[in-house]
Amino acid sequence: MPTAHTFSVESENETLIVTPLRSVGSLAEENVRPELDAIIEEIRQRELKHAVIDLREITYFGTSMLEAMFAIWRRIRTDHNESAEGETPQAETIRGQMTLCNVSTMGREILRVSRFDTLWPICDSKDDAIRRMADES
Amino acid sequence: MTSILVVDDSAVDRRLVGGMLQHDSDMEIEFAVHGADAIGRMESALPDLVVTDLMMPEMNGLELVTAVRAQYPLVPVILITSKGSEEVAVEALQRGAASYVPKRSLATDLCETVRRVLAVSGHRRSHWRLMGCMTKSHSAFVLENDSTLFSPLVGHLQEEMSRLDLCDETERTRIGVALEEALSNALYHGNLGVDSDLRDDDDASYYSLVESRLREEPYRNRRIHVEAILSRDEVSVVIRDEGSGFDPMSLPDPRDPANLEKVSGRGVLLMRTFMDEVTYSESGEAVTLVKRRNADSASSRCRPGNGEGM
Repeated sequence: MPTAHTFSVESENETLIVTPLRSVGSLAEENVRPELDAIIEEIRQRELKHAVIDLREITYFGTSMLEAMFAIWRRIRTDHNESAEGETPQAETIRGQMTLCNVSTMGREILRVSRFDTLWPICDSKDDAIRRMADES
Repeated sequence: MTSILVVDDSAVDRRLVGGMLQHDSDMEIEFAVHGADAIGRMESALPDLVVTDLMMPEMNGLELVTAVRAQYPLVPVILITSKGSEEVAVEALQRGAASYVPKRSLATDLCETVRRVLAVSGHRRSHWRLMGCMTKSHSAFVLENDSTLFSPLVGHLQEEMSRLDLCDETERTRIGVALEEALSNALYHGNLGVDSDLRDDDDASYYSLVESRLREEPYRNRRIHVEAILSRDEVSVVIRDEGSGFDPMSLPDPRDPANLEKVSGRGVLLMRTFMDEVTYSESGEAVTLVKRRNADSASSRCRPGNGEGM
């Protein structure tokens, strides 16, 4: 994994917990994209089923952070059932889930306005989010 | 007359420090017995300067430095440190103390340190008061294609809004989100001409194209022009890129369930929600964002965004 400038990452059982450490102006910024790619690769390699995005370090964010969360969610949600050689490729199978936690009032407003609150459940704490993901397994 | 609040739980030391400072006839000395007592007294009357001991019950000197810095940033604090507490002195400076004086040097250094700190803080206060008299600000920037400049620019404009008392912190944050979205659009979709649809289909290709265009002619020489007019009643920011423009009506509507799993279009939705007006020039290369003070409100708050109906 590259040095964490933007995201800190830990895991618990089948859940990857990602904590954005700062707001980002763009995913094209230096260091941001390699870190995000490494997170997505870790999900793929370890076949992690769920993700929790802990937003405790950032009070607000724009579409760049939403885009990063979207990329993680897209990886978590599908693509686990890659076909074995010779098999007919399966359609994308919805499998994993992603939950957000420790979202500020402004963060909730941004998620509501951008309609992402309809895609990702929001829990009050990291423990609640991890528990929710464990229940999904 | 200059007022100084001396904070110490020891009556003897309060008298000692107070006596040294009172040698200067222009100083009025008040006393508090610990940090919490000092904060309580500052709520009713703000001193020009605080001189505090380190070790005290209730709230110690370091905690007092932090609290004063947060609540009364224009009031400087000088910490009196005892022998062997050099590390504490460093921490106090990091927390925002104006200076420190070792207890053993009080007689020689205290009055001089107080005078020096008062001179600096007086200048800061005057500047702050002058900025409080500002009624309008007009600024213009020409930015290279560098997204790391967006946050400092937005922070600068938010500070101006704060000085003009245009709106509260929450509104400033909303305006900041909208401005950052508009700046990102100007860079990526305007100057670099990268289509947001590509991001929905293949984000690796999208960022690869961004990287290459940042180095290629004519994209790399394009600039983002920002013109901001801020008054006590309104903030108006025009952001113009040097791209070929776009049709804002062509963006997918994120509120349409069919577009729920697309990223594109959400930035403009945030802009429209958090600002009162978002208008594009005919060719789409310039956007004007306006936020007004809410005239109906008794407080000096801006009204919430009205993008829900758009």
